[in-house]
Amino acid sequence: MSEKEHDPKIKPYLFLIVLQSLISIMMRTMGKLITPFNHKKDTSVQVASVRLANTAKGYLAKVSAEEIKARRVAAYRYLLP
Amino acid sequence: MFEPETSYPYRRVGDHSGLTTNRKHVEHLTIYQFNTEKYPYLIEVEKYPCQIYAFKFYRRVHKKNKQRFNLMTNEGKCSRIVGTCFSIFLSIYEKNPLASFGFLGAHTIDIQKHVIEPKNETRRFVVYRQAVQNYFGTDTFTHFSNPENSIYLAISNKNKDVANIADVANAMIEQLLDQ
Repeated sequence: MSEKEHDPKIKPYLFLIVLQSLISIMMRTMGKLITPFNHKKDTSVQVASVRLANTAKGYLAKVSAEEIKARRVAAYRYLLP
Repeated sequence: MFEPETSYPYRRVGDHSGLTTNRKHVEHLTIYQFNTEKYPYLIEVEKYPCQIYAFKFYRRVHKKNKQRFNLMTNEGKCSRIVGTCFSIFLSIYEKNPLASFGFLGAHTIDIQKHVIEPKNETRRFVVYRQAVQNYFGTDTFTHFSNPENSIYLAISNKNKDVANIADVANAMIEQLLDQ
């Protein structure tokens, strides 16, 4: 038997490294499996929506028909009117 | 210029449920491929809640590149490529009139020319917005834009509550931009 195998400091470190790797692999696998299901139950979208409405800081602003008419090149025919 | 008649023939090469994409809020991902005279391209169509479809395209060779949406191909085929996206959207809209569509005009990153474009009102955004407004009218769609983040969304007026869909889209955008 070598000296290393008898070294009491090595074993706990090895154990921790193996444990950390196992947890990391497990978290990744669980994450991949769970995440797609999560967004079906995700209520944060609605919550954020309410918050946006309250603060009136929406990202998307409605483009008025007049603005579109002004910018549009009339020569092109509509694909959908 | 962006007419679907001039679009490239495309074919579906990938179909993934939300389960396999592992992308936040994405319910379904369909990947199409088409070939220009020079290069093969991929178009990713992500389906979000409220029947919102987001279109993204890039050269197939850049598939694994994190900046695939930011690279310039310098091929000069933008109008036909965008026309191909329109063509795909029209085929979706035919089957599902509640379908809305959106895009993000990615900012250009050109390392060789030392150019990193700001994220607001990017060149791509300006071109795509013009194309959408030329071809999709206000009778069929309610248009929304966010020039600060170069995002555009056209919501089908066949939906009962367009304003609510815009709110949900806003919330999703906020979360996706925070990532």
